[in-house]
Amino acid sequence: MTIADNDIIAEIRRQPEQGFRLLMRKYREPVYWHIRRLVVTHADAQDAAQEAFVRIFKSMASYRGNTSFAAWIYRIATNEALRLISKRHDNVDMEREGTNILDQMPADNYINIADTEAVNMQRAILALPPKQQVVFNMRFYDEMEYVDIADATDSSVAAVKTNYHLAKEKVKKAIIN
Amino acid sequence: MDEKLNKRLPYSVPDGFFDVMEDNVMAKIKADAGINVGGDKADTQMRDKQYRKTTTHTRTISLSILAMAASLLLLFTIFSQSTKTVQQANGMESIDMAFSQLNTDDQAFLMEIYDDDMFLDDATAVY
Repeated sequence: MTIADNDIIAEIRRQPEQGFRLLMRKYREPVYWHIRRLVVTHADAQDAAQEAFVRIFKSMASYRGNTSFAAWIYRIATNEALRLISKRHDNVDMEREGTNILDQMPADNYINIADTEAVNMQRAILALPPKQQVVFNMRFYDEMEYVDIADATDSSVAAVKTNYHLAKEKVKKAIIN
Repeated sequence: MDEKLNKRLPYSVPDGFFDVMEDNVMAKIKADAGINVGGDKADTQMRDKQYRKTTTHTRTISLSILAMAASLLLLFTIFSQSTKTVQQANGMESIDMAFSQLNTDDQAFLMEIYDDDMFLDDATAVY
């Protein structure tokens, strides 16, 4: 049974450590995989996910409830992933077609290069501009509502829908080719 | 269209990773807040203090030994130099005394021999 976000927030206010453990139990895997799809390597995803949760803990007092709790958490996680990518490339242009990091990565123990279908799918997503990657991943993998994606990416719902449609068409085209 | 796209990822994580990550996050939060995690921080501080203390003692002892060795070397050098000078002086005095006790003919004979002695000249040479 999944605990409701409101109950987690109430528990954090009552007993911060115990409450935050409840938050982590619910969000540690979705947050990690969201970051992992963006940064690719396990080591980077681990660093960014851990840093994201520390930031979430420190920022708890600033959560006002005017967006969904999930959107707020994904926003912090996305920022952490993009910060890491930004460090890696010095400067990330959110609207520019990204270079494909998966092609530059040596296979490690946590990337199965032999799964060509899955690798090609990730290659197609990683070729998108970072903002389209974020929107596509949140909608396609995490099945988030457009309004939550809009809150998490500081965009309008219309912009999110457009970005998702564009991203989906590009990925589909890349997979077919 | 979505049925053509597969949600399977080519990525994996080590066994038990998410529990480790959760523990890491909780430890970092506690560390940032200045809370000891199972005494780890206190142990680390104590180890650092002991290390610094030991290092300071070791450095003091090393410097003392070095200073003593340098003093002994200096003393030995001064002593050996002065002994050498006294010995050299004593050696020359005894030769002069013995030479002065010889009669004039013997002195002239010895002077004639040593004037032509190339090894005696070499022995007094300074290299």
